[in-house]
Amino acid sequence: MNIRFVLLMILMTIGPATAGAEQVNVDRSGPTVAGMRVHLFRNKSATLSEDVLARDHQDLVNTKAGPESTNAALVVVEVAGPPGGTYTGFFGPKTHFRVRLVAQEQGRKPSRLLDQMQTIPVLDDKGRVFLGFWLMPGGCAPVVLTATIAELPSAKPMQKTLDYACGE
Amino acid sequence: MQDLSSSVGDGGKNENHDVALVQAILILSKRPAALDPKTPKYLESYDGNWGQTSLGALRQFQYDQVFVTPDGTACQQVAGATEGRVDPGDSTWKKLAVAPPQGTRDLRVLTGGKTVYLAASGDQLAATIAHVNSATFQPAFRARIIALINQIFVRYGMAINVCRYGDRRTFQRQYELLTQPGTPVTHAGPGESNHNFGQGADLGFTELHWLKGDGTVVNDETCWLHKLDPRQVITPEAKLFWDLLRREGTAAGLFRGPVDDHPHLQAWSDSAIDMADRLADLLTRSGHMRWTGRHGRYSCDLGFNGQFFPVGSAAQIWNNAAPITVDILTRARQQAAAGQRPAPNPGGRPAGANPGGPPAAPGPNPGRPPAGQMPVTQADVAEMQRRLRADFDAADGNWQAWRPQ
Repeated sequence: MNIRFVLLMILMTIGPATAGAEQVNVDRSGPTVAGMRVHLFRNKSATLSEDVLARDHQDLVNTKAGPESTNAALVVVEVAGPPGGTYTGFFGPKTHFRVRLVAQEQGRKPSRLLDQMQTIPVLDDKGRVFLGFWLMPGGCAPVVLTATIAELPSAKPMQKTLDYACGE
Repeated sequence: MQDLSSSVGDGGKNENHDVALVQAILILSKRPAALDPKTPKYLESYDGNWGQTSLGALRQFQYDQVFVTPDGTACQQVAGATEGRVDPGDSTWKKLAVAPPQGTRDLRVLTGGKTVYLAASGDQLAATIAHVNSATFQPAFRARIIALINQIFVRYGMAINVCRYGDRRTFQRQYELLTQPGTPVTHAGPGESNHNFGQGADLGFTELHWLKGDGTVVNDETCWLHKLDPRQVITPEAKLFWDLLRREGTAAGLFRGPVDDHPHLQAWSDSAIDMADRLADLLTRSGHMRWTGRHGRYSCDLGFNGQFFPVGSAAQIWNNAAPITVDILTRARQQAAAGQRPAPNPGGRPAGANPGGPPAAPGPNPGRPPAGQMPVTQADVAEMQRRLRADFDAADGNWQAWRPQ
């Protein structure tokens, strides 16, 4: 068999597959943590507050009792990347990326409230997707939230603080 | 601008707070543009410690703005100014005091501290006082809080404020605080905290605008100083502010709360008052029964106007779970029958026995045997628990009538 014919057949065979792989939009630089929001869960009305991180002054003092009392919070991490970016691992282990959220309670007796990872779902056509983490803060000490892409340890983490406090 | 307490610079006493103040001025002040300086600032950061960098900045300031003719075109000696040093009230200080831009000229720092802050304006003070006036307090206590706020404004240039939910707290809110899971916030049950009677306040520093080390102004401080003390471990700098609040508050005749409850001030000393005794007094004056209280435990005549029976803690009563029994209620009824008192059914206070209080519970049904001869049921016990709670509700509504003695 002519060697040129063999090479042509090989190219015709792998060509479409290569083209298909390019269409899945795997960004070699990986996704980024683009934002964070926190909504308090109000346990007397089963409602979520507005994003408390967007307030000029966080007002998380004495939130443990009363009509607007809260004992939990929904942390929303926004992930950005190319439109339709797929980091679910479907195209191999190297395409698997996860968001890691660590919640560290401060104060005189610091404790780790949460250390959880979630696989990043397929990004939307604007290159965004959101992940929700359920947090159970003590409500009397600040909580530092740190979101990272677990597979990109050198990337700059996003860090926010919830200024909880409570009095007697 | 706050005055220096002692000299800063070469041969100076260099107290941290004075050094911090001079450094902050040198950060905020701009070098005259006419001198075409390479850097417009005299100093990049401040920390309250005097060193060569600070000395160089002070000297540069003096060369630019002190040892010069009024038109700034030639050097000249100036009486009362020492190169590399600033003394209280000297010529260098007079220049420094007006050097920062408008709006940042009234800088303050607490003695022993190194956190420089901007003095609050009259408008800020008015806003905090308006906030206090909109909060729920007992009137006399409100007046004392306002007096304290004014006093701190005059002495320290701060407009302290009432924290969120730092005013009057309902019995229900107190109950939730007491019974919530996790680390206890309070040991006081419903009706056992000064907050329940508008005589406790949590005050803090939402209006404190202070300078970070690089001179940028923090404009979003919280009541509890989360920006100055992000981990809330009470850093030495944060402690100065909390100590000031407590010191000024107690000097104004107020009292502190628990040691770690830094924002809290109240009208009365808990150490001199048994809050259960005082709540019992209010319950008796507000409800349908007679009460006594001691060390967090309560007794009540159950409305029979005779012997007192133990009815548990404030939290138990509020939860409609006072530890009364069929036996206790039976004894109470028999006692009432023996005394030929018109006992309510199942345990209410005799009608008309509480003038001025809420209406008494309805009397016995017509045709029923006298209360003392009827067997007591669990339903009667539940009804009595509800009536005990009703007295607490009445006291909650009558909170302004609480008396410390």
